[in-house]
Amino acid sequence: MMLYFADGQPFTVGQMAYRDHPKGATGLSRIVIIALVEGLPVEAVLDTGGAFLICNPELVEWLGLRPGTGMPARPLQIRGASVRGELHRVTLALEAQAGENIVVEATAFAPQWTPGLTWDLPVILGLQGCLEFIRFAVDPETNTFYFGATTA
Amino acid sequence: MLLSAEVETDIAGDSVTAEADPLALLNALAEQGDGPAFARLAAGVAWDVYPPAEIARAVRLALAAGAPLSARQISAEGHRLYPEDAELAQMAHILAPPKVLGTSPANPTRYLDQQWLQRHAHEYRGQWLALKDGTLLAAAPTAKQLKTMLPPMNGILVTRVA
Repeated sequence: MMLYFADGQPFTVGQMAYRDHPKGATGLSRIVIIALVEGLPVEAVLDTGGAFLICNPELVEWLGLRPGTGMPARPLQIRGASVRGELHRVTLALEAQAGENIVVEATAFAPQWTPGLTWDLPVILGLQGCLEFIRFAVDPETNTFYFGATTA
Repeated sequence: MLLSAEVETDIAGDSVTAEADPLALLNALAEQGDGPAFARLAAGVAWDVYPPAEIARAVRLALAAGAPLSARQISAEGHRLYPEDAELAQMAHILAPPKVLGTSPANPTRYLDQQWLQRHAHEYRGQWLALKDGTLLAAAPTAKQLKTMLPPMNGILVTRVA
């Protein structure tokens, strides 16, 4: 089922199921979807209060984002540690189970691996620089995530 | 340093008006991590009086301040003013608003991986898993170990169970 505006124009073009379960140190429920980053399927958590697509170090390695090829970014604070990283431009696809996928070009933070660092965060999809121009809606009754592109 | 315009900002709670170098003030705000004040001040700066290297520095300061939208705006303006400057071009490209490239066909079998995770993920806490079409291909304590166990095929979902 797609969602439509009152005038019949489509609000979304695709939909997928999401996992909604306690995860991370807070134990709070998160919306976990499957997305393709440069074609690689990963589980990613939605964070409407965050910026950029935050990769984990493993994804950085798989994507071949070498240090020195992006632009330096503000360090992230992870478990009291300051993690340096760089910003890159990557393609992100929201993978539909019905309808169509949406493919966007977004800004990604690639953390620089530091020996001894414990990184237990998932891939995170922030609003600014990532989901900024994607319409989305959530049905918590069926765990369905609807999405579409804005016309901007 | 170049003097630009009379600027007003709020540093450490004191509202000040100064005939000063906006970049020096932006630098101070970045050190304080005051993104909102940085954004307000940066929005009024006339960037056309600055050379490319100073504009690039302002972009970095914006990121350091926690003002990514300002970083985007400054880099875009810098690239408009100096289209031949490679650093500003890279910054403007990376920080540009997300761009919708198009659509592609759905993958109707991906939900099988999610269903598997929903049912079995709790059995593999702390492990890295590889799934394809609802089938567990491999599990390992690290991503590096997992990678050595995987066949060369596309579309494998790799995830870590928290």
